[in-house]
Amino acid sequence: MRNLRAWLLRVADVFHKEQKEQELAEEMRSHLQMHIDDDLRAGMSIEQARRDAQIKLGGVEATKELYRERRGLPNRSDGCRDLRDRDHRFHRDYPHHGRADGAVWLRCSGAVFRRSLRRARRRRRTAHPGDRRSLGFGRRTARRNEIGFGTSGEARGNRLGHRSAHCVCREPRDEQLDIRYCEHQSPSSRRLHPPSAPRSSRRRVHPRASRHARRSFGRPTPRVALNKAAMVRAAARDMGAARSSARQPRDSLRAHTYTRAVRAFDCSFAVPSVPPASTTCSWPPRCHGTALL
Amino acid sequence: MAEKKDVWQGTLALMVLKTLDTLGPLHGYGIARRIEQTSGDLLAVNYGTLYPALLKLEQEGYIRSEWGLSDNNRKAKYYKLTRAGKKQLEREARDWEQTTSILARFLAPGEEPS
Repeated sequence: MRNLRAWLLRVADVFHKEQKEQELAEEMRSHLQMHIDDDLRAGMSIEQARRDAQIKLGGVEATKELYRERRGLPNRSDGCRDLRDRDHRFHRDYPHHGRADGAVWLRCSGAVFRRSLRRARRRRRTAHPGDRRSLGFGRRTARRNEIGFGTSGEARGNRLGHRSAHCVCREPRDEQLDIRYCEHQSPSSRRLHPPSAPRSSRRRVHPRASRHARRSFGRPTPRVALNKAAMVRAAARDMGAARSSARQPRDSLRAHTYTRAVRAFDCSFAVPSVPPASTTCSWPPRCHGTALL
Repeated sequence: MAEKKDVWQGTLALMVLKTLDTLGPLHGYGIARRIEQTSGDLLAVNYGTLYPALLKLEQEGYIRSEWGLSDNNRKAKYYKLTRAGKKQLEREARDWEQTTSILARFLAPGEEPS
């Protein structure tokens, strides 16, 4: 309780800094004057008395500094200097990781920064050489581009407390392959690889399709980047709908197409690089459709 | 003349509290001089360390400060013991006696084994 009171007073003193400084200066002045008066009465000269008073006090500025340390909150500048130094050393040791400017800019605590360093080192072990990315503060990471989620799979997994929400496989991209999923994960956390489509065609998920999928499955739909044109064509083949030959199908058809596609993604059915004409899907139980792609 | 010793760590607060309890409200310089006098000029109080100690005691609520006039008609900050400070003084004095008695047992000449 006493410590809490002391801390509250220290916080309160921050807002009365000027007044406290004046009081401290006044107190030091009166202390020195009383000491000089005593020494003068003891027969010292004025110079000797002044000198003796200064020596006994240990220096006015040094005393004030000790007093300030106790009065205010701990100085942040030391911590910030440490962070900058760490950032500098990190950049020297791991040049391809980019600078930890985010951490330094945010003036985050040492613990946060240490965690960033650990994450960066962990990523370094699995990263493609030559990748340049920030230490978790940037949005565009190599992994995100590779997997194609709305956010980085790792970041999302960490936020939700999942252990392996991201793909760690390092298979090279195949431009001919529309959709693959990672074989290295448990079925519950499987995620699809993105289509290796140009960047401009990624992340085009129809909003209605997403809403519909959420209603259907009762859980958030993974924001998988889809190659829309390929998906629409595949759906059209599967359903035999003549209307889908149009490059821009009607809304209802588009929504249905996306729903089917999301279902297909959600199930654990392995999509080979060259899909068979028709394969029955058995997982999850609600998904009785036929693999579309 | 014997060499003056520094104040032992952790004992300055106790000395300040006891001085204020004995003499009543006193300014920082007066407290320091009183400690030196009480020790028979065997202790050298660094006046610079006294003020942070006084501030700490004030933050913890054991003493209270207010501005007043000294005997020489000079403006000075006077420190006064609070009720919590009196209790703390009793507690610290008890702890100190216990510590010294324990140490005294160690330092006392032991009984010779027969």
